[in-house]
Amino acid sequence: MPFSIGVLHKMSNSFRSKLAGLAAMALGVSAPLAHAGWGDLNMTQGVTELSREIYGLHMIIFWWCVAIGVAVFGVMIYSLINFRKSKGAVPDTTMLHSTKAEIIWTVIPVFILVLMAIPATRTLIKIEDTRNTELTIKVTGYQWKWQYEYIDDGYGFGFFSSLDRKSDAARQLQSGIDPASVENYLLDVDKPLVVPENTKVRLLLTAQDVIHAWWVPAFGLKKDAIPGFVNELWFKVEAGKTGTYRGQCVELCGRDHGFMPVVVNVVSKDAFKTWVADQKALAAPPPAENAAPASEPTAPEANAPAQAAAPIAAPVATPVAMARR
Amino acid sequence: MLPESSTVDDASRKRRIRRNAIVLGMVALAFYVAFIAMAVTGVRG
Amino acid sequence: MAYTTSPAAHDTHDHHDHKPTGIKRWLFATNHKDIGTMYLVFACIMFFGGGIMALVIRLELFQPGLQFVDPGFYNSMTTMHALLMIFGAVMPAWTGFANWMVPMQVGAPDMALPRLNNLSFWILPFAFTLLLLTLFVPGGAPAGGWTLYPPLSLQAGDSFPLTIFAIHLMGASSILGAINVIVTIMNMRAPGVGLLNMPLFCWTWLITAYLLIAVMPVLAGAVTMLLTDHFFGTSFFSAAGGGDPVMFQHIFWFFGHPEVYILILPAFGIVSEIIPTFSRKPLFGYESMVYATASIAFLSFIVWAHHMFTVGMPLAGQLFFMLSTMLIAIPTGVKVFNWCATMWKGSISFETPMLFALSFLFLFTLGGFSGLMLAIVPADFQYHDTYFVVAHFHYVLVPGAIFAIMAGVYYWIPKWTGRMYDERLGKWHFWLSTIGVNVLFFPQHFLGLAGMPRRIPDYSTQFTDWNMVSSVGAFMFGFSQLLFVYVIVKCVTSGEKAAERPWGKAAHGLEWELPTPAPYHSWETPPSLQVITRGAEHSGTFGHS
Repeated sequence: MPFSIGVLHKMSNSFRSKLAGLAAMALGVSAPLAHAGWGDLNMTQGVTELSREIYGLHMIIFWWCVAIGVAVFGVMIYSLINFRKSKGAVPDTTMLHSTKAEIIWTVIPVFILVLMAIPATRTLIKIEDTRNTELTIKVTGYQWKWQYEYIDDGYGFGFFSSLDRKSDAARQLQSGIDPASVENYLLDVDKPLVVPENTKVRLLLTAQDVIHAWWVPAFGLKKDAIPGFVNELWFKVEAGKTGTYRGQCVELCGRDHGFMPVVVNVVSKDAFKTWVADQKALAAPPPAENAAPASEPTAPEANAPAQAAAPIAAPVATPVAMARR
Repeated sequence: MLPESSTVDDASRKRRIRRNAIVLGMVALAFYVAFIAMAVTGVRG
Repeated sequence: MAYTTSPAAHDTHDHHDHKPTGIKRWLFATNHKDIGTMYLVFACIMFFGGGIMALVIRLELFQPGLQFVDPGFYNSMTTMHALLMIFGAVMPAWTGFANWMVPMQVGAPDMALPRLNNLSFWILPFAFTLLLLTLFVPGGAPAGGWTLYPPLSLQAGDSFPLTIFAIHLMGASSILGAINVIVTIMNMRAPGVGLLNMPLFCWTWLITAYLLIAVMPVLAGAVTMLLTDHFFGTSFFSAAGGGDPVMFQHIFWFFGHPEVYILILPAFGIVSEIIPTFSRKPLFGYESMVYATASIAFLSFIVWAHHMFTVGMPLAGQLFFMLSTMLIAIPTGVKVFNWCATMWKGSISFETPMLFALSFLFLFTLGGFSGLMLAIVPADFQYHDTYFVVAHFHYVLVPGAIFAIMAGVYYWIPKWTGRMYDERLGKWHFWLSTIGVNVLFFPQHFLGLAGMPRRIPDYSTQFTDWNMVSSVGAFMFGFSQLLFVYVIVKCVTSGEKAAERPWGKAAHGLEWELPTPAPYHSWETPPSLQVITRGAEHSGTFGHS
């Protein structure tokens, strides 16, 4: 797919303005086209070793499909061009079957599949290896928000994370708010999950009501959160890849399934320590209720953009930041 | 429906058709019962 | 014509052509052609019903923000669209084809169990009335997805018992229809018609029918347990009561994966009839086609968990289901290669049925490629429940199953009605549909890879552009189907008289040995051995019986 990106970029401007016109005509509203989506054609490489390996697998199998496709479609197109009745082609009605051909086109695919299965199995074994994790977070899906609890010894706090107010206002039926005017529309929360970089983080996933699924594309994996069961998922964001990563619930969970994003702030280990200390102070028996905790009093380099984008985040954070334990 | 000739053949064919249909119906029923029974006894799929 | 030897006998039997008139002909129908017609008309109505729901979905997704529908109603639309298209459109269409073609192709006067046939059709309007009624009950239509995963599906309002009962009825109808096909093929073949010189459509339907009998009861069992969980205090699928919500998914997909092949195997059969006809060459590798179909059917029972890799299975389970899923590529590949080899050194012409069959061949193969990608478990962890999956299964179902249905209608309608459709309009329908379907579904690959989850009524703004393209394609594809209806109505009411052999001598199969239009009761006098041999030329297996 990368080969087509350039072409699409070239055509995108005129095409987009046409579409915008069409949208305005058809719907009588201004078309929100602030973000360029034409270039989003392929899977993200992500920021973990696993996500890169998965991207690699995806590309290998993709190119195998392209190769097989070129061969098969090539034969088809060749036939359609050269064996046309209108060109006076005479059918060879004696061609009924060929054991040799059958064996060849059974064995070659087997060979390709084995070649694919080996690296896929290797990566899968790595994915399932949840040993030696350094931080454990319990993730609980609710209709329609996430709860994150840091359950390791010495942590003992947790909070809810739900769609931020700006997106929530804009996503109401006929809200009149242009989604393009909301930064990170539907992909922003009041209080994101915070994890340190270069740390093997284990998530324990479960749900309170119905099945949900937790996914951050940049981390490479998704897993279902099932009521009554605990699933495991791990990721380790590479050193230096601090920043905000976004995803969504990916298992239909009712009316507002589309409105429970996953946002993860990956911060440096030091910043994470500071953040944890703040959270513990918050969770401790009431020192002063109206301390109005900023949602993430952590390393500025990690969450400054999110903060700037959501000036109303602070008051929102107060009611939901109450620790569960 | 079938031509009047070969009545003996016809009768035995009708019997065979009915028998086959009943057997297939029973197979379907067995699948239905078996899967519920499996769930009742708690076999994990 | 030289081919009207045996049907001459019909002149002395014209009392058999007597048919009841008016509404009674349809209400009390026992004739395979009448019932087949009703199935096909019913499927067409459901296709448009489900299509309107799809257009509601694509309208809402045209741009971000919620402009038209409430998220709850949106979820009802995705759920009902799937139920209508799968159980209302594609499956009844296949049963309609089976009714029309199986007796004609095996040399029988009618289906083996005509009254059962009547019952299995007339269950359907009741089932779908119940299902559609849910749109008007408190709480709205089912909105938990067609997969009905608990606990979410148990949160439905008054629609719940109606949905469950409707699914039971649909299942009963399918099972009765499948029983009828099997006993017809096993017992009603004319003397001299061996299993291995039946047209491939009969073979694929025979195997489909066995799949139906094995898995429709499993679905019925699953929804029965949902019903008792909801109303009678059992907890099959409730963790709080000691049950297991994942067990539902295992049971559902044990039904669900064979169901996928129930939807596509008859399409393989139709394409295997059409490609040889318009390549003027017998089907290449007839026997390997039969064995490939049987292998696909067998494998379909041991791959179900690839629909649910993210539920948290043991490593060994994931590996098993990955490898078994990859194996399906082999028999499927054999089929595609055989179709290619059939065209190789043929003499190809491009009438509308062939165009649809070729589109099937290209686009189904494309859907197969994305299926192969989805089998790779680690990659599936990224693809799962995104638009990549939506693109994949729509590629195998729309230009797959639906295009094969349309190809079959164009192919056999001259034999059914004695009239020819308008070739020029047929080609227009083909090009609009093929372009529309690609504009509709191809961008969804990009959306899925870029991270857009499925089943969401609204999306973040970076997905806007491709969603717009997709919606434009949806309306293009949807409206071009009105042309299809026009072509069919025009053909039936005022089409030109079809030739006795509309596709020439290259069309093989016993149905082409009957006069045009086919007589009300197909083969009252079994075809002679000479006719059977000529009819079986498609298989190139004259020695077999």
